[in-house]
Amino acid sequence: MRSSFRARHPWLVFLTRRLGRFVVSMAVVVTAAFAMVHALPGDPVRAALGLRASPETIRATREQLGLDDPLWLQYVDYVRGLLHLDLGISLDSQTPVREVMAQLVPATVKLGLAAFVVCIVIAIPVGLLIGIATRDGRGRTVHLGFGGLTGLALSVPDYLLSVGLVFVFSVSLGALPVAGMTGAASFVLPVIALVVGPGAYLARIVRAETQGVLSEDYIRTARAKRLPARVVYLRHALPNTLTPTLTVCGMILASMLAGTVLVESVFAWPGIGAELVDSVLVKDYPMVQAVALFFGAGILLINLVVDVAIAAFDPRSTIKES
Amino acid sequence: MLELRNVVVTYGYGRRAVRAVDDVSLAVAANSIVGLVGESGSGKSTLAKAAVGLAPLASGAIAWKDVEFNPATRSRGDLISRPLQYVFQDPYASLNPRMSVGASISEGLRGPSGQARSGRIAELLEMVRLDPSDVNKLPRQLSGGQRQRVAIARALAADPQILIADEITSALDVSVQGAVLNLLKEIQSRTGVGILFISHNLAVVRYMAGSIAVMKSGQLVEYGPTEAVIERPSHPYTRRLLEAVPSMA
Amino acid sequence: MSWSRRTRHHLSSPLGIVTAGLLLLLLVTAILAPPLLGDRADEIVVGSLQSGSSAEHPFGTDALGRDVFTRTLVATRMSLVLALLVVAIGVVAGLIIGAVPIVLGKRAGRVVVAGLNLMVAFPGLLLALFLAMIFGVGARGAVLSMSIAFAPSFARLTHTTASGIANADYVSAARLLGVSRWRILTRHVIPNISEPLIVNMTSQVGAALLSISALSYLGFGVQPPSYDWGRMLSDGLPAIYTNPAAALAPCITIVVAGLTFVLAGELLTQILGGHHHGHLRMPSRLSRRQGPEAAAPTRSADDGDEVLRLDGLTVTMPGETTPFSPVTDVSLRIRPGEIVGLVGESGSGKSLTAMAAARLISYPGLAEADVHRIKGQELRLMRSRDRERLLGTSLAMVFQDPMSSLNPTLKVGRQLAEVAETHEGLGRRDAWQRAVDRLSAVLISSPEVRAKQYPMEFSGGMRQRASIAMGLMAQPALIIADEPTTALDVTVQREVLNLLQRISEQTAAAVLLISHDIAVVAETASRVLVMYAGRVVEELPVSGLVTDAAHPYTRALVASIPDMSTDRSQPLASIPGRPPHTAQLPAGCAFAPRCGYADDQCLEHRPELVDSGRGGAVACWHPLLPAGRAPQGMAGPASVPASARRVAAEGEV
Repeated sequence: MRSSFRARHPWLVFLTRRLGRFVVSMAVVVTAAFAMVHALPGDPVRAALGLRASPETIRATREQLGLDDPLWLQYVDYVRGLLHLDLGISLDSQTPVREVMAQLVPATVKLGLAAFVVCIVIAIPVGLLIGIATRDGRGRTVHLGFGGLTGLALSVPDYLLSVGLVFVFSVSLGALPVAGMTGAASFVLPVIALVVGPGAYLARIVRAETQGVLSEDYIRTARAKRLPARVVYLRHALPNTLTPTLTVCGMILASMLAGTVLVESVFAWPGIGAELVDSVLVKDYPMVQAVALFFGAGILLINLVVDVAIAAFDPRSTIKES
Repeated sequence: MLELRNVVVTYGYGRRAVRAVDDVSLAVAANSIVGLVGESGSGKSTLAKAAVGLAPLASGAIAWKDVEFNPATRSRGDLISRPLQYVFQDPYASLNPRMSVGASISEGLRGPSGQARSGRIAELLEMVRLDPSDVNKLPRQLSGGQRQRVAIARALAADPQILIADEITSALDVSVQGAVLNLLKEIQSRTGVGILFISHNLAVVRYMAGSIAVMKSGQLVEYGPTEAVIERPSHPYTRRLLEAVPSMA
Repeated sequence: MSWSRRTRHHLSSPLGIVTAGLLLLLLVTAILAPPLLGDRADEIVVGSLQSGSSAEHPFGTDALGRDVFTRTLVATRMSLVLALLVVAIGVVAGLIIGAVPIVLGKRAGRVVVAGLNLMVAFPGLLLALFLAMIFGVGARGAVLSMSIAFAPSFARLTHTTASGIANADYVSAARLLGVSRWRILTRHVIPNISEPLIVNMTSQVGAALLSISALSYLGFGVQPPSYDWGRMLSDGLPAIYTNPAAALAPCITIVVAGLTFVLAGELLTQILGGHHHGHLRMPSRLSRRQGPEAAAPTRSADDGDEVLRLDGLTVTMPGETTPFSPVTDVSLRIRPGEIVGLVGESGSGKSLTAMAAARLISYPGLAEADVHRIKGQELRLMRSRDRERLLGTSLAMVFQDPMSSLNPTLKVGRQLAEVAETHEGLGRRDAWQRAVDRLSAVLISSPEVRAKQYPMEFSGGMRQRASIAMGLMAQPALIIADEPTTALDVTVQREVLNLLQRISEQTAAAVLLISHDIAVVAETASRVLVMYAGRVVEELPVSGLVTDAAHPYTRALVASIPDMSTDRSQPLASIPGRPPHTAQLPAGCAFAPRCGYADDQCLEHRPELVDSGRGGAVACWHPLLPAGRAPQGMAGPASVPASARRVAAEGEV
């Protein structure tokens, strides 16, 4: 019977359903990327190549891109191309998009991951400690100070922070490189710029969750059992903050991907974010499509991993309820 | 007379569907109090909500004066709906926090306007033993017992012929519970309204109702006049329930 | 506090003054700067390209030799207008999309919600960038792209808030009253969702300002010769080495303007939500009254034998004007194997008394007692490690809600075993073995399997038995059970009470049973203490509860609970009015305003707890005689002074 199958293999059911959602979302993203070209006002080729391009060049490029085929055929060709990792040819540089991506993606991923790791390593312990210090409404001063600091950090967006950092550390002090990816030192400023806002957000969430969990009945039970403070906090409180923390971590990683667009522009980082800005400005649509797919797939994948992690680590998650 | 005929309510879809109410028939006549008792998850509240369209009927029917109707899809102002009124368990959730006592009660009134309307509101407030000068107060300025009285007054404003009282004292303190129960009994004998009185507390149901229905796991396991159910319960579950009631003696 | 008074109060707070000042400054600059300074901002100073700051040009000049300071001021209007447009369009679109699922019905609504969830997963700026591809560069394209990127999150907020309210009981009630859909929308739904939406909208203006500036900075937004702060930043950045002020000035204005709207959102939350964080007066230990022997023992002291002795317990909490005591001068003595009931209404202080007896009153509360002994050992004189061990091994707690008082992320067996690991140094395996053993002792079948499960997999009654088993991990001398059956069904309640009784008989553990239900206590305990407004007003053997109670409150409490023998033709006894809050206690007996027997003495002087002569104690000037005879020293209720009756009639009923 199906119901007993569901009961015996909750994991299989969960993974199937979750993967199904991922595939559907991915299909939506692919279709959106395809549709974007046809939503462009006027002729996309003319827009990209400029007014000076001859009608022959335009016609040849249109043909090469298959823009004169019926729409459904274009879509089929597009999806088939994607399955073979064929992302088309850049209108701007006339090189295959896949090659450009292969050059740029590692730089962005390195930057994003470095920022993510720094963010988690700092924000989670800080949030936890402040949460403990402000439990049951204790430590009003600490609470206010923390709220003010993180509030300030949250209201300075990454690109403005980047400018400030460049001014202080590169222009005034001359201590750190101002642009490009040239070794470990060049990571410092972009990573700081990416970490401050999301880090403040994560620390706030972890603090609020910790404070909330510490006022739960089961913490009172743990105290009634006279367990040492260390056990109360680490064994009883921490695991209960896991689900919201993981959710926020996923959001942060996604927002850091978006943050790279601006931060890479300020620091002239040779990554995909800065490339996106240039491609949109010159209407190099195969390039923009590729970047859209990269970000879209990345964000959906992050969400997938977070959901699976929550299901795996939190015994309260739905799949274990049956 | 309100009749619930072979009511089935299911939650969830397909094979995971759970029958919250499983083929229950029950009738509430005017001028009577029918008690509905059961433990959490027995389906007693779901049954009552189905009667007024707050829970979807999977099958069965609700009949008012022998006319069957679907309460979930009734059009507004339908003559069938207003004779059935509902008083909710939690008086903190059943009053709009932004509406004054008078405005809440006024929602139930049809017809009178101006002076007559405020006169009727004052009358209703007096009927539930609230000070008519409380008419402009907001719910947060009232105690739990007072809020429950406002909720009762609002239901009475519609001149109901059947009142469904769903665990109306379980959010209240014991010393206040008695007064609300007395009030409900008094209103019943004064207005002749029929009451479906739902509670998990058998002693309270026994005190209030002329007949008692017992529900367990979505099914009606016993129904009869109060004396018969209390003194000669036929279903083993009713017997267990009776034995479990704590007593002062 | 009324709405306008609250507004004034919050506007005069430091946050209010700063926010209002900044908003005013932004507004005035946006209105006045373009007409007054517009020409000067476009004036080209020849020979002074990209100069640093000077007296004439505080922020220097840009690449064309125009004054950066003037341009920053003039750009205020453009930046603000674009941000406001983004939010306005985004909000309107969001409201419409958010309302669609409610209008469409379940199935189509779910598709829209799924779509929104997908959209919200993508950061707004990314969406806006891709949309800019379609809408083209320029202010109009940027505003359109950005508002479409903003709409999904606002739509989702609208949807979740509105569907929460659409399911509220008061909306159901209005529907049953035949209130029209339109009126439900305008009178119930919109007023209750507008508050979170307005607050969100305000802070979104700040976010929109940052985002639209980012678009302009990247070159998608405002195009020359127009300019906003973002455009100025992208013009100034390349020259950051020669004139940093040209890049920093727009940065600072963007941050300050963004912050202003965030603060405005915060301020609105406080005004609308009515959160008034007044300074609470904290209790301090110095407030302790003198004389530890002041409290008169209510029964002959047979020390050493008692498992719990608590004299003169007072719990203090911070109050708005002054600290107050929800528990005052409570004394408790419990002997081994005894089951003592503690009853009272909500707010009577019974649970706080239980928590204080277990030393679990936490910040900002403060519990103080003259004597606090467990198994004859004075807790206040012990080193904290010894005290924790004593409490951990000889005191067990059972709480009201077994679902929330067990940790949902730890296996049940683990939660039991850790007690023995911590206090008795047992190894993991031995502790686990004992946990299994204790689970079987509380009649949980197949305890080996159950120990490996999470609390979620237990039924309500089973969870409460597991809680009791947790207390049995050591050899408890006292079990404090705080409303242990309130969250349970009647049939399960009986099982749990029987279990507590059986444990008490078999292990000689004493039980302090706290309940609002006097019938539960009557069935289980041998002695009962009745609390009212923070004090014990009567103590008596359970056998005398129905006939011998001397305090009018005890009598009324017993009479107000219908049981299976209540006369159905008579109205139920009920107590008029409601209990006072312990922060505003009357001078005399706290029950006097609700008491039919109260006279002037009751209203002015508080009666002490004294021997009642019936095996207990009572705090009443006019204790009732057994079985309904007239109260001592009084002819009967008919002689109650008119003043007292008037007072009694006031209040709730």
